[in-house]
Amino acid sequence: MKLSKYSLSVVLPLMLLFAVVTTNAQDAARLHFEQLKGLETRAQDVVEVNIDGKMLDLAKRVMVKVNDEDAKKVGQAISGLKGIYVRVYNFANENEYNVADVDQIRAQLNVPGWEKLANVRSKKNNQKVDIFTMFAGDVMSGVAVVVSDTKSIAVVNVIGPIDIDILVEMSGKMNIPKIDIERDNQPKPKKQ
Amino acid sequence: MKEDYLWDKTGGDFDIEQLENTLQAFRYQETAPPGLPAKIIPFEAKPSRRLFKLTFAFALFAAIAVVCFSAWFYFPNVKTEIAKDSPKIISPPNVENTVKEIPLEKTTNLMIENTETPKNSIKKEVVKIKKFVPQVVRPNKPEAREAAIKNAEDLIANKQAEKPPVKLTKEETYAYNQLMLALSITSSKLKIVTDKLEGIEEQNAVRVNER
Repeated sequence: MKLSKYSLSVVLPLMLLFAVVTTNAQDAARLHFEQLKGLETRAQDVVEVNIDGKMLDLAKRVMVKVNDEDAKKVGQAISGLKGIYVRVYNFANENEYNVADVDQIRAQLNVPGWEKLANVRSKKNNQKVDIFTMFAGDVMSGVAVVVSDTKSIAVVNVIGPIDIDILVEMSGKMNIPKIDIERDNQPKPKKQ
Repeated sequence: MKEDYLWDKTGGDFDIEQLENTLQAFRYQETAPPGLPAKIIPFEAKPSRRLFKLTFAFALFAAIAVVCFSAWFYFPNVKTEIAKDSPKIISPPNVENTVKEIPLEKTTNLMIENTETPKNSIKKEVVKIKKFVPQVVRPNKPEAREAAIKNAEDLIANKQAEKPPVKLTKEETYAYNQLMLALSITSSKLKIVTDKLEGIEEQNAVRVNER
């Protein structure tokens, strides 16, 4: 009896602490894109993807259903994924956006917790590429990729562990795969 | 000669009486019965018909067994010889496997070898092979042969590609497409970085070599 009480009094707080730390780490890895909203009107093409929670679970389930080697690899790479947020803005002309807007995103990554994995600066098109990662202990809790040049901005924010090597390997192969999809709500052919 | 004398010894017949007197020494005289000989020869019983039946059945069975064994030893050997090199004669519809596994020259040789076999029973099998083999071995030229192999490989690839359609709901499809879009963008951006870094490393290596 004493042992169980002792174990409850020790294990439960530890579990709670772990849950709080994990949640905080996930929240900390989340970037805020509010500053970029003004770009939507100015950009020629806008891509905005937010996947988390139930939507992500659905997508993972599909990944299991699809009998494809690439899909299996990707499924393996994102098995622990909690969310993924993407913003891409392409402009018709050069310097059509305010650089401060992107710098505001980069500023969010210059805080304790985020570690710079790589940054590339190219004079050609004034290209700037930054990759940041966040770790909670040994587990990766977030990745952020910010790419900007004179005519485009791309920000990717991944929450949870993800296998970057597999993703890089799958680059080019992962354009939405053509799978034979039978939709449930397809109208049935009328019988004559 | 009077017949009455012969019948019931009434009257007299000189000739017969004279003959009787002559043969008097051999006349029957009632004496004690003859004794058994000292050595009794035992009666030899004939072998029973049941034993004969069993022996005959065993011999018949042995003969049938010998015939069956000899047939089993002879015919299966012929079949395995054909099966060693033949392109899956048992299942002709598997053309693609056949082409992939068996070199075409071998199959041609096999056809010639088998036609030389003298037994009628084997000839029947050879005829079967002849019917099937030309479909696979038709191209004798190397280009045509390569084309045939390629066609067979394409068939295999198509068969593998023909997967049953995945049944997805509208929501699942949307979620999957969104995720793949996000991942493809992420991977392409990460690829840009790795390519740039690799390019920089290569440039540095070139500079070091130049020095």
